[in-house]
Amino acid sequence: MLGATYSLVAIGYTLIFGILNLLHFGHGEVFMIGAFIGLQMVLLTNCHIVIAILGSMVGAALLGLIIERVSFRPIKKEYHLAPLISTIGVSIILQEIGTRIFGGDIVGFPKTIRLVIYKIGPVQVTSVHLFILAFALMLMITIHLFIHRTKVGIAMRVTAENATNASLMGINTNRIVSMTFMISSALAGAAGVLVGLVYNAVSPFMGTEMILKGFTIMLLGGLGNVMGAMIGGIILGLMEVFSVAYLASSYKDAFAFGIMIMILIFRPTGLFGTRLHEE
Amino acid sequence: MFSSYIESILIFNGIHIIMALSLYLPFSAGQISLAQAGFMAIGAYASSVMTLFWGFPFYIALFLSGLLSAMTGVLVGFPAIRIKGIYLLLLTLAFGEMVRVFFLNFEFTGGASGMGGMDLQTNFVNVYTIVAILIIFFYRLSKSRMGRAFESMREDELAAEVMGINIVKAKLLAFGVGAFIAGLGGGLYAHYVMYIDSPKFGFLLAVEFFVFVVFGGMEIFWGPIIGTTLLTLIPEVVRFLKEWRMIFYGLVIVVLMIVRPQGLIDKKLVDDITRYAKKLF
Amino acid sequence: MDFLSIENLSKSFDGVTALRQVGLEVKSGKIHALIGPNGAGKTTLFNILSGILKPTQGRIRFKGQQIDALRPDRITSLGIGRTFQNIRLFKSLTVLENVMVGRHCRTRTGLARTFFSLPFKKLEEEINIRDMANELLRFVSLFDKKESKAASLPYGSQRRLEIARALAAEPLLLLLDEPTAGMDTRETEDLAALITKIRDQGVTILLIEHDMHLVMGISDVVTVLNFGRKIAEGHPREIQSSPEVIEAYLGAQE
Repeated sequence: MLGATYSLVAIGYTLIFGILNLLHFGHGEVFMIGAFIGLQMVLLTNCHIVIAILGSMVGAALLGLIIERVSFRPIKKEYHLAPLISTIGVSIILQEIGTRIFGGDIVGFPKTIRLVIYKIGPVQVTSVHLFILAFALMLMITIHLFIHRTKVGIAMRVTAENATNASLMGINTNRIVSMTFMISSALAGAAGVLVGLVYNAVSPFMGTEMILKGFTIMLLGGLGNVMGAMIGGIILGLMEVFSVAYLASSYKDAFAFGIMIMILIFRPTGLFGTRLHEE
Repeated sequence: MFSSYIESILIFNGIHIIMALSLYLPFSAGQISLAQAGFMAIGAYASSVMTLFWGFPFYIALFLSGLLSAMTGVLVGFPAIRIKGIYLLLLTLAFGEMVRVFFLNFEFTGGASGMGGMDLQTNFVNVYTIVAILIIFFYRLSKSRMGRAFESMREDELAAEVMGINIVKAKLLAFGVGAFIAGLGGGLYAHYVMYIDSPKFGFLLAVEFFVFVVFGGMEIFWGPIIGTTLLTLIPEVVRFLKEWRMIFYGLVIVVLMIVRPQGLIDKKLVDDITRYAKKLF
Repeated sequence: MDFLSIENLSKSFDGVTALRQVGLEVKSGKIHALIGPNGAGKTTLFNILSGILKPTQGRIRFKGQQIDALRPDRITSLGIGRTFQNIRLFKSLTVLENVMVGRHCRTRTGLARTFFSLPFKKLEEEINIRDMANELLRFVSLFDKKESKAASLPYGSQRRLEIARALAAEPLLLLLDEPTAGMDTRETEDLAALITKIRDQGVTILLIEHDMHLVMGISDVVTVLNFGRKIAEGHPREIQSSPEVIEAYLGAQE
C-alpha cells in the first residue's frame, strides 16, 4: 500500500530529473506541505477526503509553480550544482514555514473513512489501505496516459530527450518546465495526504525521510524512467514490509541503502534499463 | 579571549571549515560527495573509542582516526571510480547513511544511546591551527602538479587521462585525503561536544557541508572557507529575526545561487583582490 | 624494430563496424596522413591508438611493445600524444596551466612533497615544468597569451594550444586530429609550417586532415580509409592519381 504512495513521490522526482536533469531537494517538503493542506481542509471544513486530496494537489501544484519561478528559472543552467543548491535553500524555507504555521508536533489524521477490515486468506486489508491503493493507482494511470497520449505529455518527453531540439521544434520549453514542476508537485501533495492517512500522522519532518526514499526508488527504476519509478516504489514498499518481518527494524534502512549502492555499481541504469534522459 | 558563546561559535565554524575543505578536495578533482558526514562519524567514533576506552593521547587518536577514515575513503573510492555526477552523489549519500545506521546499531560504541564522557580537548587554538595548516596545504596544492591534475580532471576527465594522468590513482588520492581531513573534523567535534550519537551524522549534515562549498564557490579553496564562515555566522548574527532566521538563511542561499551561480568566490575575484592589494602596498 | 605497427585491427559498436581488419605501418620521423570521407573510421583509429577505446580484434605494437590493452595514461607515458577533433582543453585553466598539465607524466612530485617542502622555496621540478611550458608556448606563438583562460582564445589558437599541451609530454608519436578545422588560409599555412617543424625535431606525426592541399604538401606517406577499410596507401602523388581514391571521394560527396 505504502509502496503506491512512494511511487507517486518518486514519479515526481523522476519527471523533474528526466526533464530538467535536476535533483529536487525541495520535493520532500512539497509532499509535507501537501499533507498539511489536506489535513487542514479536513479539520477546518470537515470535507470529504477526496476533496481534501484534490485541494492539496492544487495547493501543491501552485507551490511547485512558485518554486520553479523563484528558485529554478532565474538560475543560469551552465552551473549544474546551482539549481540543486537553491532547491536545498527552498526546502529549508518550506520546512521552517511548515514548522511555524503547523507547529513542530506530529498531528493525527482524523478518521474520515469508516474502518472495515477485510480478510483475504492470511492477509488483512483495511478499507483505508484499499482506498489509498485505489487512489494512487488511479493517479498513476492518469499520469501515464497524460505523458503518452496528450500533446503536452509528448512535448514533455521530447524536452526530456533534448531541450534544444524541443525548442527548435517550437515547443515552449519554459512552459513545459513549469508544467513539470506543477504536475510533480501535485502528485507529491496527493502522496502527502495518503501517507498521512496510512500512518495516521502528519509532521513537518516527514519530507526529509521521503527525499531519501524518493532517491532510492528513482535509482531502482532507472533515473528518468517514469514506469520504473512506479514499479520501484511498489518494490520498495514491499521490501520494507518484508524486511520488518525478517530483519531487526533498525537495519532495514541499511538494507535499502545497500541495495542502492549495489544498483549504482552494477546496474546504474536501474532495474528497468532505458531512461527518458541520456546524460 | 572571547566570551564563551562567541568562542563556541568560532570553534564550530572552524570544524565546519575543516569539513568543507574535506569535501572541496574530491570536488576539485571533479568528484561530488555526500559521504563527508559519514567520514566525520567514523573520525568522531574512532577517536572517542581510542581516548575513552584505550587511553590514547588525544592527538595520536585524532591522527589515527583520520587514517582510518582515509582507508574507508579509499574503499568507497574504488566503486566510485567509474561513476560520475548524480550517480556519484547518490552513491556517496547511500554510503553516508549506511555509516549512520551502522553506528546506530553498533553496541560497542553505545548503539542508539550514543557515546559520551570524552574529555574536552578541542579548543580555539588547535582547531584554527589545523585550519591554518589546511590553508597552507590547499594553497600549495593549487600551485602544484597534483593540484593541476585534479583541476584538469574536473574540467575534462578523458582529456586529463589522455594527457597522461592516472585518474584512478588521482581519484583515490583525492577521496582518501578528503576522508582523512573529514576524520580529523569528526575527532575534533567529538572532543568538543563530548557526546555523540549517530543521528547527528545523517544525510542532512552532509547536505549542509555540500551547501557550504557550492555557496562559497568551488573554483578555489577560499570559496569553501568564506562560504562556511558566512553560513555559520548568518543564523547567529540575525538572531533578532527570531523564528524567521532559518527562512532568512534559506533565502540567502536561493538569492546567491541566482545572482552568482558559480558561488561567492571565484578565481577571478581572488585575482582582482590580489591585484588591488598589490597596488596598495 | 617497427616504430608503430597496426595489424588486422577491427572495431565494432553494437554490431556497426567502424574498422575492418586495418593494417598500418608508421615509420619513425615521417609525417603520415590518414584521409578518407567522414565516417571512414579515422577518429576511431585514433581513439584506439590512444587507449580510449579497446579494439574488438587486432594488435597494435609501438616500438616493439603491445599497447592495445593499456590505459590512456600509460600509452601517453610510452610516448604517444594527441589532440582532439572537437578541441578538449581544460577551459577554465590558464593557457600556461594547460601546457603544464601536459607535463604530468614526465614529472614526479606527489601530494606529500608538495606539502612538506620548505616554505618560500619553489620546488625545482615546478620551475622546470614552468620553463618548459613557457618555451612550448613560444614555439606555438602563444607566449603573450599565457595568463588568459584557455576558453577565451580564438579557435585557431586553441588548436595550437592543444598541440603545445601534447608536446609537453615529449611524445615520440603525435596524433593530430583535424588540426586545421575551422582555420583560415593563413592560419592553415602557419600550421603546416609548425607541423613540419615538429617533425624536424624528431617527432613522428600521424595526421587526420581534410585539407587536401595541406596533406599533399607536407605528408611523406598517405593512407586512405573508406568505410573502415584501408583502400590505398603511398606517396601523395600516387594517391592523387589513384582511381579508387577518387571514386571514394566522389562517391561520398554525392
